[in-house]
Amino acid sequence: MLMTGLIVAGLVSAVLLSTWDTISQGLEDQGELEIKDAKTRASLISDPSAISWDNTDDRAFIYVQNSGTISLNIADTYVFLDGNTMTVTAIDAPETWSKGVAIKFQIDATTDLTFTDGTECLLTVGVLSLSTSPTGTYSLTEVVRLDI
Amino acid sequence: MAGSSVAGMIVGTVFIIIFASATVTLIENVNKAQEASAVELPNPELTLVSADWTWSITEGTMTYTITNSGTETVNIAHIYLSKDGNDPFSCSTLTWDSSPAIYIFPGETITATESGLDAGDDDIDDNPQTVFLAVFEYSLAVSVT
Repeated sequence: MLMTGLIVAGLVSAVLLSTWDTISQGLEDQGELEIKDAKTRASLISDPSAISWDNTDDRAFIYVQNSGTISLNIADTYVFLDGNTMTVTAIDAPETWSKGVAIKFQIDATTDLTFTDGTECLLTVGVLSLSTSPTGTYSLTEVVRLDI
Repeated sequence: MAGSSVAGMIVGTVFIIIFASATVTLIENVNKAQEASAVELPNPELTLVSADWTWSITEGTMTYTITNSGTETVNIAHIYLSKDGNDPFSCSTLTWDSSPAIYIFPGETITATESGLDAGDDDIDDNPQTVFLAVFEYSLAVSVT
């Protein structure tokens, strides 16, 4: 009877402790992620009222500034223009995208995109923090006017 | 009877441990939430007082006057200007009237001149109509006078 009680108690305790440990770790990770997200920011510094778009090459250039407090990952930057996924290439980028630094990105459409002059559409830019575990994320969406 | 008492004691002790651990976790998460909300992102506020274009026989000159109307000191290298949607350039590439012009302090006004703008080619810099200023998440545009 004593042994049975001890075994059951041990099993129940192990399950309870394990479950709590998982919950606790999840809460801790979420807290770290919120801090990292808060520090990860970027802003468009190209004039949104005149983004040059090349209908022949399906290409535009935009400048994005690191407006957060931690370095960003240049290679993981992503862009959507008018809902279309764009191929993003950093031009003459420094090794580290630190606070305040602006980088020129060439954004190419993966399919043929033809706009008329003055088209107003949404531009979304997403950035990730350079440091991982966890990775901070941020995305901005702005209305831009295309200059053909 | 003795077995169930001991088992109850063990489970009870585990509950106490979990409750204590939960309290510690709660405090840690409150601290992290405070830390996340306390992250101070750059919050500059500038006024592009004027962007004056002048033309003298062979070249154009643009004079920018910027006032720091916010409460944060702003590094000039972080301020970008663009003319008529052209590529933005850092204000650190201009020569300012104050020396050393690295920062604009709150309430301070500085002036810079960009010369050698040639109207003889098709450069978009020629006779610009609008200047756009951006620094972090703050931006504004003014008409060139």
